[in-house]
Amino acid sequence: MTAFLLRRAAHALTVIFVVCTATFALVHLAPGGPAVLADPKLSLEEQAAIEQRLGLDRPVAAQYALWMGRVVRGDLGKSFLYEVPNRRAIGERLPNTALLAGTALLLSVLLGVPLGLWSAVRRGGLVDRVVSGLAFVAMAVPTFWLAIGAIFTFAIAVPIFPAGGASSAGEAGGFMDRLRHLVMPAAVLAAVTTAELLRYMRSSAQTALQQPFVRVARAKGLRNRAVAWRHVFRTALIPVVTALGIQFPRLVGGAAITETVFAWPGLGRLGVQAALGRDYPLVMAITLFVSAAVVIVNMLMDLLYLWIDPRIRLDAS
Amino acid sequence: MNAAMVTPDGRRTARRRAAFAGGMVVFLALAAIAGPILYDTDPNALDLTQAAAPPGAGHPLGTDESGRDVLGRLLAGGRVSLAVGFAAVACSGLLGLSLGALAGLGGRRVDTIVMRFTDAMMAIPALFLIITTLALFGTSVPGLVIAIGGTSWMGLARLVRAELLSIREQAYVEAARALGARPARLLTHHALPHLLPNVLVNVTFGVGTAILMESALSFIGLGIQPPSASWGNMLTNAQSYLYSSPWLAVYPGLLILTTVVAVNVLGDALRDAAEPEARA
Amino acid sequence: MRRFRVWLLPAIAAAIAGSCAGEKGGGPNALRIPLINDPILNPVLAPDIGSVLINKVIFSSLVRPDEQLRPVPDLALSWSTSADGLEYTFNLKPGVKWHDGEPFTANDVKFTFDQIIDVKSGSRLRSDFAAVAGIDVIDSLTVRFRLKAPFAPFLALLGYNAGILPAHKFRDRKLTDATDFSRSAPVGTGPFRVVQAAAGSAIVLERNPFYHGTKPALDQVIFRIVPDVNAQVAQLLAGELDIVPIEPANLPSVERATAVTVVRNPIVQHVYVGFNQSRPFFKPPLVRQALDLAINRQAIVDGVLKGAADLPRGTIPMVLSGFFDPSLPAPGYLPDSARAMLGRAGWRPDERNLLRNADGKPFAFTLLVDKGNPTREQSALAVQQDLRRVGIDASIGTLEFATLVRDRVLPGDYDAVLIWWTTPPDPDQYAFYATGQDNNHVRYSNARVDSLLAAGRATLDSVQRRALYNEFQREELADPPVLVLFYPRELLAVSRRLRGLPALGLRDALRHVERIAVAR
Repeated sequence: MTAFLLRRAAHALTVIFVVCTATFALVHLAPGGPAVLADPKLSLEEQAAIEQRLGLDRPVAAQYALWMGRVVRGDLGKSFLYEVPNRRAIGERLPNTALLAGTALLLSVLLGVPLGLWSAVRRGGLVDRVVSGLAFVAMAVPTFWLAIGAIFTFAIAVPIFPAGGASSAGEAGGFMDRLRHLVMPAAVLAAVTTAELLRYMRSSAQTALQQPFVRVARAKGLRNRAVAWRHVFRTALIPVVTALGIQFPRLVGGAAITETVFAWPGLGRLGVQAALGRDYPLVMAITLFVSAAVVIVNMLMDLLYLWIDPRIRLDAS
Repeated sequence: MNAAMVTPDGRRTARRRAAFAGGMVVFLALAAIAGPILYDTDPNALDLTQAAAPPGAGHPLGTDESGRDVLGRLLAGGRVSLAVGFAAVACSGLLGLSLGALAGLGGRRVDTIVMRFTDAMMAIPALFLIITTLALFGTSVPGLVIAIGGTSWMGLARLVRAELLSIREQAYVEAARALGARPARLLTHHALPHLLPNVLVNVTFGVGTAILMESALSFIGLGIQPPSASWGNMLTNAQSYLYSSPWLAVYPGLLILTTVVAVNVLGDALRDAAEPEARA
Repeated sequence: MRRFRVWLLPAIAAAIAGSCAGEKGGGPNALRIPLINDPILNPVLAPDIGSVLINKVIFSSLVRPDEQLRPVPDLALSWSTSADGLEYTFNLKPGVKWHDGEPFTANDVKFTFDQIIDVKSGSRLRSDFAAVAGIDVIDSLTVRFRLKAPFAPFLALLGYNAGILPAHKFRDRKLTDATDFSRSAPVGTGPFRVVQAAAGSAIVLERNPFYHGTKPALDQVIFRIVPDVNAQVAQLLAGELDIVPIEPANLPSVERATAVTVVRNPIVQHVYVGFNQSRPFFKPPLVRQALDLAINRQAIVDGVLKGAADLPRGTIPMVLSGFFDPSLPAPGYLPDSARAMLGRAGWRPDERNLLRNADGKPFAFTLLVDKGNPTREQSALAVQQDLRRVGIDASIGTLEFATLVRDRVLPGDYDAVLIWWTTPPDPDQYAFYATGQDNNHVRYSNARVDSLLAAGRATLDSVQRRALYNEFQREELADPPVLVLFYPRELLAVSRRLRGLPALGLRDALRHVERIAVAR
């Protein structure tokens, strides 16, 4: 077990190194340059001074060495756009992202997994039809459209929720205030995730129901629900856990659209704005941060596979 | 008879659903291919005096904010959106299937290399990766296909590999191997039938995801660039006219919804129709 | 159990919604304005419009523009100019305090401008004050600027973006290292001070108890970070914002809302198509004159801008009424004359009605425009169609603004570009249109214009200055440096509860934020 964990840690470091290098290469390969330099009024002398201050006048290889050296020392550099250390920029947004992504993930697991299982067991029934239909629609609506629609419906036409932000600025706020601001973005973000989890769960539970051991269990006369919970659930969970592993980076870094429409101060929006503004250090810092988080979650996922399906062995070769 | 079993009856409804959804997809594709030929109008021609005209004579579905014919743009935009959707998924499906199979069957060393790469690609938030890739290749149709396809194969690869690892340890595969079956035969005769449902679900959902991704990219200004139309950029532009000209939002929104639901239902029905157990 | 949870969720949601519906952020006496991004709270470092806006409320400058855009006293009580125009001496307002209670003195002014003209400080205002040779502190309330040459726009520029920084907050610290200052804890002398800055979310300002001017009517000004303009409009309609700069496209949605009104204030900006005159196509003035007649500007103003723009007469915007010559004719739309002039310049139509020169080369080029702004994209499309009508084949290229400027405009690697200049409230355009200047991206060169623009920036007498710029405008008719499309008006969607908003562009209006109030 220790050897397994050590090996996974080494893998994780390799992955992060690949991420760092790939991101650096991508952002520097692309034509164009940082938005801070794109001021038609800058004189050549001023441009040169800014490039020098930001370290952009050095050869790309030197910039890469400098960046990697800093990363090793735990220094994530300083943002071009905001003139603040990236570590601070990320730290300021992290609690909001954790709150939004956590709520959305919780909602989707609580809804998606049981409903998916239910749909599989009572396939073709009323619940299956309604829930599957809703899932198809949820997965087919562009996120920004759903978000704008939600705002126009629940913030303007029938104003019960605020149109945006993470809390009411300039007021004490408080728990209920934050909760009210959380409802719409979390629901919009959870809509797709729930639908996808539900489909995965339904699909893999159906496959699991066909497994010989389930048939045997059924033949032994176990009631439907007991079969579902004890046997099917575990087997069906493998693809679902994989799906969750895929959802995680999406929720942390990819909630940018939802965050933009609802003016939610999260990491995804910060990252997209950094990418659009060619804020090299900030793009690299966020990518590094998110990918490190994802890698750690993936390690946990692998452990989860072991727990779910004992047939997978540590030294499978 | 148990509801959970795939009955001949269940497979028949699955076929009906597949036929209906497939028909829908074919119809939309045909409309996009033949439509611009039959309905001959310049989808990019401006007529500022006719801006945001409601549906009526001359413009069966009205005009947009610049006085361009909405029907013409929907047909032209459909070509673009569907092309992006299918091409991107072909790209990602091929990558995901082959890399997943390589990792699952190629032995430990290959598995390690492929999976480290997959993990790295998966760890970077897709939207950042796509934005940066688009900066490199440009926001053209091929650029979008490369960016979307090249950044969405990892889930499939992991799924394929995970299933393969799980299947490999199962009794009948052990038996087949003991009987001297080659890895390729293992893949085609034992693994693929098992994999097919999940691959199909994943790939068909991928078409929808790619079409939705194009609209999301349009929202942040990186989709198909005007004056060319795509359903995504039409929907994005329509946001500002929600009150005054709601039809501008309704048409592309409904088309995206219909298309994505249709491909997803198709994939789902195909999966049901192709249940390996039922076929065995 | 599962069933129970599912039904519980909507119930909880309804309870949350019901518990405190109707509350709006900011309390009753606050002005709420959107920014698209976290600002840099330091006027010397601020690179973007959002930072510029908020800094105008936090930091006072020596002078500020009045409603006719003339410089009037702010931190300076009065000033005098030496006869040769090389020295400006300012008497500062006594008793002014910084937000932290420290006294404001001439040292702060000297510190600020030392930083502004230092190329290593990270200053974004250096080109505005390139004429400044040095700053001397005469006594604690008197400061003198020495200029390298007479520079008429000086006062206008002092009141534009040059907010004064507190020297005592930067002892032994570079501006760019003072992260706390520029992120969350700036100290200025302006009417409002920052009390709370939540990254990506909002910056809350409250009335400055030490403010040196009229006591502000508002308790708070809140800048909310809302990146998407449609989301900004939605928040305005939901009563969560008070002023939103909008695009013409947003007009229909806000015009229907009863609680919102739209103001269209002229701003100091000209939007133009710049033709790269190092390309032989665009070198002859006759060709540029012809192109000027080929564009139906009225259709663009009506159709694309929904009327929120004025027809141009050259590059000096109409809002600079002290210098603009309104007697000049608005440009006509005369495609036939344009074609005739192009014919005289050697361009003849072929069988497909495309213009070709004697070598058989077609008149074809790429018109670049920044992507993402529907108003400019549509304007570019309209220009393309108008040019096609006279036989010119322009294809449109869209690029991200940063890429457009850095890779194409600055190095001069383009044929034509649809772009704009926003300038301080002064007619000086030497840097844009005089031969060989840094910002002359169109490579325009006209000896007479050079001397007029050079004289214009060196002449302090306003009557003489006006005559010079009117002469420049007339010269532009014969040899247009760029094809000016329109002078845009800034569209502001404003909550009807606001009172006292000056009839200026938002960036100048916010210099008078103490006059703005909300109806209870």
